[in-house]
Amino acid sequence: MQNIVIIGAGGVAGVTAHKCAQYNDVLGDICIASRTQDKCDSIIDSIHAKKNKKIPDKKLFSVRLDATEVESTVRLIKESEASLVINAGSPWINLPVMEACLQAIAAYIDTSVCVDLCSEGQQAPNAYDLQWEFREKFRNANLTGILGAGFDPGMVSSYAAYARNHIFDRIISIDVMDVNAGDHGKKWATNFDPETNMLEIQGDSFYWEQGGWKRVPCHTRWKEFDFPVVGEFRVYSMAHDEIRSLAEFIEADRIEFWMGFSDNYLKYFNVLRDIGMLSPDPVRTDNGIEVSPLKVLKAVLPDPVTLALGSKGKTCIGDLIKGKKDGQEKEVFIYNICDHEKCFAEVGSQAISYTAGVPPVAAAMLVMNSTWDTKRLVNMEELDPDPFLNLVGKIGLPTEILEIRQ
Amino acid sequence: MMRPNIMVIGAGGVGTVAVHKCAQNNDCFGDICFASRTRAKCEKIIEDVYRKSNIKDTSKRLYAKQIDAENVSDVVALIKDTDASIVLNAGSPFVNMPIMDACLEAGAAYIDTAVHEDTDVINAEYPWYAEFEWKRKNRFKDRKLTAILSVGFDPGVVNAYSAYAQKHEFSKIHSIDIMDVNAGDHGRFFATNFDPETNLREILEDAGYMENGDWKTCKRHSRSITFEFPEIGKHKLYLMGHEEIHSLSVNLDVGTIRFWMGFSDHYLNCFNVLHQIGLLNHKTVRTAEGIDVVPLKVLKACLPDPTSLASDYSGKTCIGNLIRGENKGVEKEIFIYNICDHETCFEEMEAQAISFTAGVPPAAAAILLARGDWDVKKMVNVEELDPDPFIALLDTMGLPTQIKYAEKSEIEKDK
Repeated sequence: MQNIVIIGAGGVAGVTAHKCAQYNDVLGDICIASRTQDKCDSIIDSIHAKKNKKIPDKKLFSVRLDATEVESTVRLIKESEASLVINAGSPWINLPVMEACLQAIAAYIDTSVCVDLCSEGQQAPNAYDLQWEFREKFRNANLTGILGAGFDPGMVSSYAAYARNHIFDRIISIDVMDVNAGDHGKKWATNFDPETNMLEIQGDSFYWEQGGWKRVPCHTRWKEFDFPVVGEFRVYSMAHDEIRSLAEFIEADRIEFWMGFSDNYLKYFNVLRDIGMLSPDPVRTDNGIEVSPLKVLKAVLPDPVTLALGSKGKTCIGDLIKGKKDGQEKEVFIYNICDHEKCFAEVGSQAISYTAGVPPVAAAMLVMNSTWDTKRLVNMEELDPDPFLNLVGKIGLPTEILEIRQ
Repeated sequence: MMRPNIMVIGAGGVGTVAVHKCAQNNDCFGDICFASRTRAKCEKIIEDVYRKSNIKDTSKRLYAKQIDAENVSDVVALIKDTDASIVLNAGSPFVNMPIMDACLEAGAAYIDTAVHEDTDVINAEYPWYAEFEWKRKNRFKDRKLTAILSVGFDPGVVNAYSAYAQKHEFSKIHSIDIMDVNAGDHGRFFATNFDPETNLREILEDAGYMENGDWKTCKRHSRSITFEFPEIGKHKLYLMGHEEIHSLSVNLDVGTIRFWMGFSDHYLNCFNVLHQIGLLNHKTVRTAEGIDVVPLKVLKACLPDPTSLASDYSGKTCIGNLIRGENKGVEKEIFIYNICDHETCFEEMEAQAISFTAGVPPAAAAILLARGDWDVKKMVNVEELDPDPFIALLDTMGLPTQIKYAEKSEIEKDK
C-alpha cells in the first residue's frame, strides 16, 4: 500500500501537503499529523480551496500527534497504512520519528538536521552525528531514509552533486548562498520557526577548508554577491546543515554557507541577542514563571505562515561553484529563483516555505517509483541528482545555471 | 522624647538607599523595619548597612520582614505589629493604593516616590493623581494623617525646587522645564536604571505637558532639545510625560511645565526594537508549550537588575529645573539643580546615582515628618510644603542644590 504521512503543520508542511495532494496519483492517501490538529485542518481546507487535490477519491485527513512519542507515531503509520513519512516538523522530532519509521517500516524523509547548530556539541561539525547513528539500522531493515531534502539543505546538495558529475573534473570551492529579496511588510519577522531560525543564526559559523573546520563568530565574515534577477546583496557566513554533509560527500577545498541579511534585520537581531531574548535557557520572572525568552519571543513575533499574504519579491538560492574542467578554471552559479506572490497564488504560502516544502515531495515521488529506493539512510548528496532536478523543476522549482567564468 | 518607628517597603534600588539613609539618621526615628516580598533581600541589605557603618545609633533595631504589599490586611497587620507611625513606600508604583489604604486603616503617615500605576492602563487620564491618590485627600485630613506624595528626586526634589523659586526667586514664573540626564556609563549593552517594568512603560507613553495653560500631548520622542548642563556638558533631551507636571500644574500658577529626559541614540534604538517586536507589552501571551506569561516581565528577567549596575557605574547625573519668569518687573532665568556622582554613591552605600537621587529624598521627608517640620496632617504633593528645610537637609545628606543664574540660556530646538 502506498500512502504518505506528513508530520508538522507549519509553513513547510503546508506546502508539502499541497504538493503531495497535487500528485496523490503517485503518493496515495495523505495524512497530516501535528501537535495542533486545527492547523492540519486549515491546511486541508486550503488544499480544497486551491483545488490542489488531483484524485478526488484518495483520502486527505488530519490526526493529532505528539511526534516525540515513538509509539504514537508507529501506531499512526500502521493505521494509515503509510509506506513513507515526510517529517516537516521541528528539528527536535527527527530522532523519534526516525525510530518510529524503523519500527513501522516506512521510508523517512526530512528537511533539516536535528541539532540547533548553535549550542556546544550541536554545531556544524557534529550536525548529523545523531542521525547518522541510524545508518546501520536502516540498512539492516532495508529501509530508505533521506536526510536534508529541503532546499538548503537538499536542492543545494543536489546542485553540488550535479556540478561534480557533469561540470567539473575537480571542485575548488562551493559557496551555498541564500538570499530573500522579498518584503513581507512587517517591522521584523522570521521566515520560518523563530526558535529554529534564531538559534542557527546566533551560532558561530563553521566552514570546511583544506580538510578541516574553520570557526568564526556569526556575522563577522561577509561578502557581496550580484545575484541573478534579484541583484547585489551582502551575505554572511553562517553555520548550516549542508556544510557537514557536503564536506562528507563532495570533495572540495572550501565549502561554506552564506545567508543574506539586511541591515535592519541585523539591527533587531543584535538588540534581541545582546539583551538575552534569544536565549533558549529559562529565566524566572518576578511572579515566579520559568520560561525560555526565545519561546516568548516566538509567541510575540508574527507566525511565519501569516507572512505569505502580502509577501512580495523573490528568493534566490544556489551554489556558486568554482573548479577545473579540462585543465581550465571555471565558475558557475546553479540556482533557483522563487516568487513569493506566485507561491501564494498556488499554495497560499511564501517562497521560503515553498522552496523548502516542494523538494521532499519530489524525493518522495522518486522513492515511491523506486528511482531512489536506496534501502539505506542517505543524505541528498549521495543520490543521483539528475532525476531529482528534472522532477523538482517540473513541480515548481526550476534550476538555472549561470556560467560566471568559462 | 519618643521617636516614631518607621517601616520601609520595597527592597529595590530606591528602598535600599532609603534604608541606608534612615539608618544613618536613626536618631530621628525609633526602630526601622525593612519589608519586601523577599525577606532575604532585606536581610542582605541590612547586613550591608552594618558593614558600611551606616547605622548611627546601633542600640535601635533595624530588622527585616516579609510582606505582600498588594494585600491591605497584610500591610495593616505589619504596621500594627511593628508599631510604625511612618510608612515609606519604595515599592513598585503598582502597590501605592493598597499601602495607602493600609496607612489610613492603621493610622500611619505615608510617603512614596512615584504616582500610582495600573498595569492595564497606558496613557492614564490627566492629571494623573486625581484618579487614585487625590481621591483619598479627605480621608487623610479627617484622620489627621500626613501623606507626602512622590517625594523622590523627579518627582519630589524638582517640585521643591519649583516651590523654592516661587518663594525666593520670582514674583511670576512663566515656565518650568524639568531636565533629567544621566551622563553616566554602566558598561552594559542595555539596562534600565530603575525597575524595567516601570521605566519602559513610562517611556512608552505619549508625552503630556502643559504649555501656556493648556494640556498638550505628542508622541514619545517626537520633540527634542539640546541643553548645555553644568559640569556634564551638552545633552539631547526628549519631551516626556512625568508625574511632577500633573501636580505642579494644579498647585502652581505657571503656564508652561514640561519634563525632558536625556536618551542616547543607542538606548532609543534598543527601546524601539523591543517595542516594535511587542516585548514591552503588558498583556499575557501564550507560548507554543502553553505557558502564559507577560512579555515585559520576561524582558525584565533578562535585563540586568538595576541595583547590579552600581559597581561598574562611572560618571554623573544632573537633574534640575530651568525656570523662566520675572522678578519685580525684570526678566530672569535660573537653573536649579543637583549633580550626583555614581562612584561617590557606590562608595557610600553601593548604590548608583539614579537610586541614590530617588532614595535620599523620601528619607529626608521622613526625617522632616518625624521632626514635625512637615507633619502637616493631610495629603500633599511636595510643592505644597515649605521647601527650605527640605533643601537644607538634602544639602547635608548627599544631594546639594546649586543655582545657576543666567540672562538667557542656550536651548537648541532640535525639532
